[in-house]
Amino acid sequence: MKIGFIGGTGNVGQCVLRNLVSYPEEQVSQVVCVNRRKANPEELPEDQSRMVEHVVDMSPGTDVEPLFADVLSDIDVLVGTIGIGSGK
Amino acid sequence: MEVELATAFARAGIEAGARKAVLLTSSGADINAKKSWLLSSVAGGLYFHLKGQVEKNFTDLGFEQGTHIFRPAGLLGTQHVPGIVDTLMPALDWLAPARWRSIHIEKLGFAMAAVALRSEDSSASVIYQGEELFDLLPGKRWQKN
Repeated sequence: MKIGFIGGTGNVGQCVLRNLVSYPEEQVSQVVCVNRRKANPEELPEDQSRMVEHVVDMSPGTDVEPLFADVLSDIDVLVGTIGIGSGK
Repeated sequence: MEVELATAFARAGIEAGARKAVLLTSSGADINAKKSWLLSSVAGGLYFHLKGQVEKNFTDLGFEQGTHIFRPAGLLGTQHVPGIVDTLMPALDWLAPARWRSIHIEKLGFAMAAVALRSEDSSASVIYQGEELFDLLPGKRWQKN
């Protein structure tokens, strides 16, 4: 299963991501993380072998849908943990 | 703005083949929420309205295996919550209705991942809050240990 993920650097997102990559490869082949900034090492799970991170410009006024489309392909499940917060 | 980001992500995802969506919102999410004397701050009615709007936008896309919406109340274990609150809240949770009980983010992460990987035979959207959320946890416990 290939998972598209937005919000993986947030408090809850980090926990979900860590859980997802702890499943065996037969269940989770890859997690495609879309972030507005590069994740800090401490925000990422230890095992990053099945995750790929894409930094996308999400600044106001940007047409983000084509940017998301560029990095998402053959996705099975979407996970969204993006908050209405600071966007740091 | 996060409403637009999340919605654009959902649209791009469904175009990329996604059959299911798992979404974090909040207890109290309600597209019809309005500012009130009780919830007069920006974090009041508007917040719940925006969370409800994201839910509607995802649901309207019609994922083949549904949109699975998580609506936790208080989140324990974040850097935004002082340690004393993390300690006290679980002790007081029994006083609150289930939908307003706190949950540790590790438990929430476990539940969301499990639902993401579970196979579904319905396109109906599902909301997990209160008892429905705690039922996903081993031993139905909402605290960390």
